[in-house]
Amino acid sequence: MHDGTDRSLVFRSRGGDGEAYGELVVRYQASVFNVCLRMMGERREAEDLMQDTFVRAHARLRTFDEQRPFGPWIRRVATNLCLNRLKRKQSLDVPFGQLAERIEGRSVSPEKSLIKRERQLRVREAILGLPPHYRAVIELRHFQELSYAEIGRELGIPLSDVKSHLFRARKMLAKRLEHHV
Amino acid sequence: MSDYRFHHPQEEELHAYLDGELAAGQTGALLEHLEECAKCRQALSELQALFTQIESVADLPLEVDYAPVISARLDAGRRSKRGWRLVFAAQVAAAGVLSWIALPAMLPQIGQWLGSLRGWTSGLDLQPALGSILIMIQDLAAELPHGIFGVFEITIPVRIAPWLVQEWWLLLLPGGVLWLVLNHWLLGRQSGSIDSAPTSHGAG
Repeated sequence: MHDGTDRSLVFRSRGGDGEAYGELVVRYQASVFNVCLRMMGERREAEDLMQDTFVRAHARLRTFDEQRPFGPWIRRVATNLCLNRLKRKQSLDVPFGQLAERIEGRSVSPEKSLIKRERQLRVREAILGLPPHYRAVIELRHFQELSYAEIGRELGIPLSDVKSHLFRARKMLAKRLEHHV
Repeated sequence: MSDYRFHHPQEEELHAYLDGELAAGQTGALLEHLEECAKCRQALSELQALFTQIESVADLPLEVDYAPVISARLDAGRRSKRGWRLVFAAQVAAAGVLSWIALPAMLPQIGQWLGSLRGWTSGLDLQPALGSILIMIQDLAAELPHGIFGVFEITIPVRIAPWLVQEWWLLLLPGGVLWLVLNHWLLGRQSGSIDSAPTSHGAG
């Protein structure tokens, strides 16, 4: 097991050390997977996109600023990859019962509170009902805690669009969730 | 700066406040307003509840360690790129050998061409060259009523076939460029397909 910092692992990965990059994958695969899962709403697709994220990120490792943390960067790469995929495909409209199965796989622990689980599924469902760009701003703001300016840079949209996308996305979420609170 | 003594804050401003994106001065004014206005406090509290609800979505565990799968994909990509580079290098070598063989035959013609080009640039041979191009266009235009396909499928090949037989080596340059472009495209396509190759589930 490696005990290097992310920075040293990135440095070694750039030099062609496959083991070092493998360690970065081990560290961040779960969080990248969860980004993809929130964006795509399907476990298998999220797993595929998580792998694609690491493969692409490896090819672009030289563009990564090693003074910054690796985790947020790789999660942003994942968000953009998911957004591109979403733009190319039809919107997801999965019945609530099926959504649980598609998202959770075998990972539901029996002792987990049913009410809590159902509430979270409702929120996931509401997020998945948003248009791709709205979904991306919700992901970047609420789950990756990026500022408006950072979101704008990441998605290549002006600050005014970030504000309006967030505002409208939250309005839509509030409407979708009001009956389930 | 907004003065919230005379009007309620916009809904967007409440969002910006909770996001920590409101300017410092504006935040102070908003907080003063909230102390006085129950309606805005209620709106802010509802918005805060929505934020909490959104962020309540917990991460789910990843059931499989994908590090070996990703590592295998990266290795396959490296191998494939290396293979294509070898193919590319072999083609460049073949092109070099071919040029070495063909160059003695080509040199006199290239010399003539360069001379002609020098003439063109100084404007000496420009008129006859343009004249012959114009005649060719007129000839083609004269045949157009017989049908565009007739002109392109029969006339042009018939006209250029004898010339090609004699000056076949002139095709080497455009052919070589086309070959390089095709290879570059194939190489990019190959590495791209590896990047997005279907993945093996249930590994690990």
